[in-house]
Amino acid sequence: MASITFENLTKKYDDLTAVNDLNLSVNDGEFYVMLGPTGAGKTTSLRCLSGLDKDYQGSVYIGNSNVTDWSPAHRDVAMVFQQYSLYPHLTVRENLEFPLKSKIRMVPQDEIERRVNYAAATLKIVDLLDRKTDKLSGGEMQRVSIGRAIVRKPKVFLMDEPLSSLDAKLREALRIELKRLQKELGATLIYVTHDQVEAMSMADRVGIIKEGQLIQSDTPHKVYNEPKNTFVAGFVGSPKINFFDGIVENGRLTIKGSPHQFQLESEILEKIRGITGELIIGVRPEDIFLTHEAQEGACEAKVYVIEHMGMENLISFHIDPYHFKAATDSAFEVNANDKIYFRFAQEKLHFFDKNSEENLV
Amino acid sequence: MANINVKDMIKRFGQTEVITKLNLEIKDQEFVVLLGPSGCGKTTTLRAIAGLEDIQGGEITIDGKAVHDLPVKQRDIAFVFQLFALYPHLSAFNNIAFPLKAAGMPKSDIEKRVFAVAEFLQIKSLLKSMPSALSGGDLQRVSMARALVRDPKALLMDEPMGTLDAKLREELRTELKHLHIETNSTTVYVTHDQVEAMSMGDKIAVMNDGILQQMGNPKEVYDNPSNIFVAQFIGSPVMNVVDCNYATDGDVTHLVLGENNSDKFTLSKNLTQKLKAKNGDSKNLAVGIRAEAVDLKLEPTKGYVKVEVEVIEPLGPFDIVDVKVGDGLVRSSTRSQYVEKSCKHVWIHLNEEKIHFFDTQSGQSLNINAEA
Repeated sequence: MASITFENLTKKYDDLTAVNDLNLSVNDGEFYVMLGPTGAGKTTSLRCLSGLDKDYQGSVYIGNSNVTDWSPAHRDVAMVFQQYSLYPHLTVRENLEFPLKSKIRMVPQDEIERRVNYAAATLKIVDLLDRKTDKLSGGEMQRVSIGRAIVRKPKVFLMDEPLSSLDAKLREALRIELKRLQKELGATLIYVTHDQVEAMSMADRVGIIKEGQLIQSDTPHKVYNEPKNTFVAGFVGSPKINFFDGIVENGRLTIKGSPHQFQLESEILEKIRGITGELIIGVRPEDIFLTHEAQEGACEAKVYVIEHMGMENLISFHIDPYHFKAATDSAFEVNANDKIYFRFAQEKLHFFDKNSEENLV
Repeated sequence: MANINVKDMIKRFGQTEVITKLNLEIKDQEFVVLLGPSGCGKTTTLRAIAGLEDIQGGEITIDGKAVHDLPVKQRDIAFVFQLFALYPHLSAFNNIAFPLKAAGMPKSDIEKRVFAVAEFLQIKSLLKSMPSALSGGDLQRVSMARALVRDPKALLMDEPMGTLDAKLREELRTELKHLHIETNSTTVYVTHDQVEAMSMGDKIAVMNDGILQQMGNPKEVYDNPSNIFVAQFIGSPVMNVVDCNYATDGDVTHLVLGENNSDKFTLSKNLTQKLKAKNGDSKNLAVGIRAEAVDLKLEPTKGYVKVEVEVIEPLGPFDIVDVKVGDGLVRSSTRSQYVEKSCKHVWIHLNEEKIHFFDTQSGQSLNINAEA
């Protein structure tokens, strides 16, 4: 396996800059997830790395080799796509053998068998080896696609939304399998998705990409708890983080446009180092505490909607002009239009600059 | 608005029966979600209620009146295909007025109806705006106004948010639920997304293979699923369902999960008794337990079983820790970063009050509840 480096990678299609000056190093043996909305440039970055897209500026390294001018075949990367591109008229075994039988590779027959058997055992598809691939379920087909990548023993695995077309239950199961597999193989893997749950749950590090630019590259814990700007804070986490304009003055936080004020704790004031004035404040649903009764330091609000999610209840309320959504224990019952009292877990508040939307802490 | 009743409904396409004796009771002003995987018959059911599909058996009544032989027009139902597909070249007013114009209503009546519904949904100030100038929430209100302007007996919606991105869907489902509280319109909503179903439904009808699996409010289907299918279709992470058996050794009864497993969970006397009453021979038994009901500790603890950590999945507000139990995995949700990467073993305990038992042959719940 090998590390990967993008150095000042820029890819343009006519007027559109799909990837804008990407600088990123992925470590040997790392599970790296590129996360972002559709059209952010994630797939294009992968295609430049694999050599499928050419005519880009900047450099791409695999291990110590600058592969910028290499053909796809010589880069030795294996790709797995959302659409499983298997040969329907071949059996699973033949599909797995296929990449090894190419003239460039010249893999001896006993070695082919060894690798196919290993891949099949790892992916639990031994029973399927003699079946035609058009007789397989979606999950089985995706396993075979991954198997076909494994047998090649590539330097790098690239996966582009491989689980997107599977149902929720299967996706959850394959998420775990893929993560185990990657660790077992010690593989360097770059995985592209728009699904923040997939990114968070599998990645060693997540790179959040927006409009061709890498915004933040960190562990799942960091992107969730220390988002670099409002975009990252809003993209990661479900239900979404609540944003509101807040005014920090004389040690108090006011929800702008409302009479609601909170005395900020001294640790928080220390953390924001004397920043005052109008800011964007972010607070995640699980960091809002609700009570039925009035409490010291809590503000009153009226319930807008309650959603019973099973594990928790989501309770929305309005503080004009903002919407808030709080996550509570599933035993916390209220009805629409009931009065409730809310306060924030202050150590979990996020403070962003009003103009740049960058995290100030 | 109205009550809708589906009684013993059968739907066939050619020789293939796609809906088997379906019974649904939808009360006036209720928001009922038909939930299931693709191909389960939920859309076909909705279309049958609307009159877009004929049925081969049973009946559909609206307010007690059989309608399954009536044409679409006479059923007085609004079918909302996409909640946000407004005509881009028409103002909000003209979008709302469109169904009335199409029905040939006089102009003065149209205005009256449009203003009334706009007042009701608090969008009077938006009537002159073009759709491109409206926010997602406002678009939804205008679409809703268009559906309600004819004063239909019920609203039927088929995956109306299907094409939208996740964050917008999250926002709009709250809005739609609020709109329902405001309008109290009897609504039947089709989706394959359990999160949507849970968040919006007064009741959820879970379907699979053309058969109704369970109908109940979100809490009921989550806390008391009637079978393994419902248990695993509702909720994320998916409920752990593991084959198990139990054995009594002297005074103590142990539950053993999976095969090739020496891990034993001690059962209370109360639960043992109930279990023996329903499943005397300890055969064809599976235990179901949600990730949040699998308690996890970092140190040996009385009543807890030592297990190997397989994978840790951080989700932000909490982590899911997958541990090895027998040949399989059990998922536990824990505080974020409670279990560190370097951690090889942890100790788990199954919260008895949240344990479900299923018959693995029929898939049905044994309805054993440790609490009661």
